[in-house]
Amino acid sequence: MAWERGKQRLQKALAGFLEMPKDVLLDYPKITMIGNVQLVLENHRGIVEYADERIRVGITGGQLEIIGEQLVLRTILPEELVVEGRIRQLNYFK
Amino acid sequence: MLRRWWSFWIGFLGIRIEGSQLEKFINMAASRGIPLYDLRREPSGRISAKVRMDGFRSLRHVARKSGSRMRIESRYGLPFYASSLKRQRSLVIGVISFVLTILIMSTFVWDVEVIGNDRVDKQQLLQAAAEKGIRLGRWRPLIDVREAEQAIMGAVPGLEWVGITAKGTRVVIEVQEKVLPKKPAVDGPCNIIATKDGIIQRLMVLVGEGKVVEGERVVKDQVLISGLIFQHKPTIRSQAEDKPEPPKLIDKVQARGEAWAKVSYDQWIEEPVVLEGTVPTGAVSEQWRIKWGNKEIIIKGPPSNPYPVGVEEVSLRTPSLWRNLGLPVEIIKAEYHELRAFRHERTAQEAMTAAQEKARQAVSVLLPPGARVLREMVLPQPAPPGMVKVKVSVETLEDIGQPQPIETST
Repeated sequence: MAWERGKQRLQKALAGFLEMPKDVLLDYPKITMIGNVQLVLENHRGIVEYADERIRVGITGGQLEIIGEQLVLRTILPEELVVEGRIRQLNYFK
Repeated sequence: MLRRWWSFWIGFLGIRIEGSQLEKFINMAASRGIPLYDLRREPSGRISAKVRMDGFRSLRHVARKSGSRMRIESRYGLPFYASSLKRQRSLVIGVISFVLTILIMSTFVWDVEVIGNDRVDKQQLLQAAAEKGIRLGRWRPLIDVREAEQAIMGAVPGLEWVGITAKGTRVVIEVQEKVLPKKPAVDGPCNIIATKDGIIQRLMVLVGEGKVVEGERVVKDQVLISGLIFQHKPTIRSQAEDKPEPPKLIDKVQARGEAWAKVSYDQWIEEPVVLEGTVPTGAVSEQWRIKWGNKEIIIKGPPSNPYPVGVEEVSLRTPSLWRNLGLPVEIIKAEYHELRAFRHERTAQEAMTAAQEKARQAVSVLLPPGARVLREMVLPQPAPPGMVKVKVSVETLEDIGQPQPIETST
């Protein structure tokens, strides 16, 4: 565990020092939203729950919850997914 | 967008998935790289999705492993359209033969046009072109344009240049004619006569016999240079005889020469001192009408002239469908220009200057090319009140000679 924490601290310090985008170095998801109608999520870890009004997606270090109406998974690829619909809320869980 | 376009050509299926662990199904499909589109949770708990045809086979494995069931609901894309078209063979044949017919027909010549001929006969040009294959209904690849140009140049006299352009189904033969030297105005023997009254200043006889001397006053239609050449007899013999013998005609020639004479033009011009008239104010309103047969419908603009004083300017437009095929409809555009009355007070001197200018313009119309104005005289004349009257005399030097054929009887 100590190893892991040390490695993460080093990575964070390196990201800050090199001014590199955090999604590249730390494996963080990158979320792009167009208004509240489209959401592009890069670097996901699979779908945990999928319903008409709630989608939960696994991401590095937790989960992302998308709440809205008439949600449609427009595309799903190994690294990327696109959600369309009326998005109302985004929540992060540990 | 591009992905959708691509999947149309490959073909895709609309499927409906049923099962208890549908999230697992989606994750497994995604991690294997099977692209699923438009996933939608239905109220019944099932998921509808679309998948490309090439991914469907591996999706079956996924379904078996995740314990869900799959059903194909609909099929889209070109492969399915193609299979349905197989049953409608005649339709496909019709489409292909239509396209082929258009393609084949467009390789023939349907129209031959001649541009730029003025003196050369169009039929003659077309005849020469037809001999080289440029005629209606000819297959265009068989036509050698360069060779045809050469052939037409050789076959038709009086051409300077021939250019043939084949554009689509239309062949345009463009020609440039040779500029030939000017022909004499009159064939056969002729006299030079005066076109106007005047005083001869300079007579230049090139061919013929001068009948007048410089400084002589001539009247209109007087013979200046005669084309009839007589034998001159010694004067002593003619005096000795009782009755003078008519001189013997030696030759009839085509008289040529120039007769520069002083010609004067008199103009009496009356001009009102105060100018009254109308000028456009610049306000314009447009009216568009459509004319079909005898009926006219106003589509835009006022129904009649909206200005108290105005002029109407009407232009017609006939829409054409293609080349010389037209519609029996005319579009009429009427423009109403508003006019404003104006009154311009002038002094008598200004009016006189205007009158002089008018006279000068009236004379300049009468002058032949090459004429020169020698003198201009303005004489005020008695005029009614409110008017100015001037006599403008313009004296010019011009060539008054004009050929006139000699009748064969004389």
